[in-house]
Amino acid sequence: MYGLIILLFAAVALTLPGLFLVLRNMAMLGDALSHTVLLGIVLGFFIAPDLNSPVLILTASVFSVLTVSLIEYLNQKAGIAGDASIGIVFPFFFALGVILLSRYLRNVHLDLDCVIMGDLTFADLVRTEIFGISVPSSLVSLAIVLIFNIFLITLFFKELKLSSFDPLMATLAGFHNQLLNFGLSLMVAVSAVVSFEIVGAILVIAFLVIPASFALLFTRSLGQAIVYSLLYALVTGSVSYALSWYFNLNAAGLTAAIMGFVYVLAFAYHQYRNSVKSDRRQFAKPSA
Amino acid sequence: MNARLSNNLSDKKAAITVNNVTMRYQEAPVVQDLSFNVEPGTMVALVGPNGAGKSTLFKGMLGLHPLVSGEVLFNGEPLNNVRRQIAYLPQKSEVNWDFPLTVGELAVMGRYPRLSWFKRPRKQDKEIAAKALEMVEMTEFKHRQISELSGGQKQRAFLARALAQEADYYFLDEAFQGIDVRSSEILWEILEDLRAAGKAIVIVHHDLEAVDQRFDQAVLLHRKLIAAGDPATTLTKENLNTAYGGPQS
Repeated sequence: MYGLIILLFAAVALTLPGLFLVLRNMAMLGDALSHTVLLGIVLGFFIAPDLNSPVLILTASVFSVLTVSLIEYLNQKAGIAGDASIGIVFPFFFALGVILLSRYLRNVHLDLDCVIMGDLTFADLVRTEIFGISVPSSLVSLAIVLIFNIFLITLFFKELKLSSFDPLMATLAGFHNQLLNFGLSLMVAVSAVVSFEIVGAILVIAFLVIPASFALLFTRSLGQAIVYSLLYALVTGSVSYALSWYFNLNAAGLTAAIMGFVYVLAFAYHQYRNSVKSDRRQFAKPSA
Repeated sequence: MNARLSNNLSDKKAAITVNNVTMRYQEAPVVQDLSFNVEPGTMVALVGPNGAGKSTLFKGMLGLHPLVSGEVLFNGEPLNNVRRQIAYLPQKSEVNWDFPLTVGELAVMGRYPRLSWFKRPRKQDKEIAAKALEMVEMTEFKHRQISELSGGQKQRAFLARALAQEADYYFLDEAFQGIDVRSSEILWEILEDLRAAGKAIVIVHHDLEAVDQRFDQAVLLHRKLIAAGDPATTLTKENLNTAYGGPQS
């Protein structure tokens, strides 16, 4: 049962910053971050050999900042356009992480399958006591990240909204765009670190990008987009979890697949509705 | 004097000085040693062919693109002291029209520069924004998402955002391109009111015909300053040929 709660916590924690990533055309950066944190985690593990240690979050955060800085540097100084710099930095860091992991940490429960597909089934085996109740440790760390994300996005809502829509005006008004980029990247990175051991890198990216993309098909204001994307993540997460339990399938994989499938349906509906609308407009014209 | 503009714009006179500004774009000089003045209560057109450096200069004046040398002063002060007093209407192609944002929210955004970090717009800010929408005759569209507007309505919505800011300096990038007659009238009326209130208005413009009727000053450039001053004496055939590369007379 805790599995479902963990999944939904991760869904909300990732969907929130994901919406702003998508709005800022930084979705690929989310992809990169959810992978390069692996190198941070592995290096952190050398310092503190415990998967639940906060040191891992710290080293992973350092690598997320390094990733973002390096990508920006390549964009601006080396004249490498847009996504290409992401394509240089992310495989490099991720590959280093994979090499270190397979060479030195074979016996640790941080294997490649788990990195990619997650391990929701066993997530509630490692437990912590809180107020005398035994709960899965991952639930505790996810809850902390979730609360932080809600808090930060509420606090910086105006700044994120302005700089996502009109970065020039944001800069002019003194709300430094780059600073907000870093803040958002850090939020994504920390959320990714905490979630990906449980739900895997694939579902991390899916939660970062798909609920936001779905919501943006149907919304006309940012508040509405937040509500729609969260509902989408929660509903598809719950349904997928139930199905995965019933059919005995990997929950993270099934969730990502169902999310993609529902998005395709929604997109088709969106296109259909638009074509009906424009037909109506064309018929309305002569009489107007 | 201005019936529309009944809000609390400051009486401060706004002047802009551009001193020997040089800018580069990836090593190549785009704007070279350019100087001109914008007096308080004037409307200035930046005119020149494509690639003349109008938009680059524009961004340089707003601190959004670095200056290699020279300076831009606002009432004698550097940009940093007045940045919240500058309203900016972006070029249509630079706006993400699919952003989940309504016309009403766009107008409220004009208040953001006046709020510090973390501060949310209050009731008073929303009232000022509503009034700005009324001035541009866009109140009935306030619940529309910004892509659901015509070209002219889009510019009016952005003008409402600028008005809500109650700024001293107004920068418009190609604001009159592809808009309907009524929208154009509304834009001009409001800009004239702002001019009468002593504001400085800089517009990247490309319809040469209207310049001498509408503007107090024209700045004709093609990398370098070709001429600046009264539109009639600035936009002479000879100067235009120099700028646009027509036949030399």
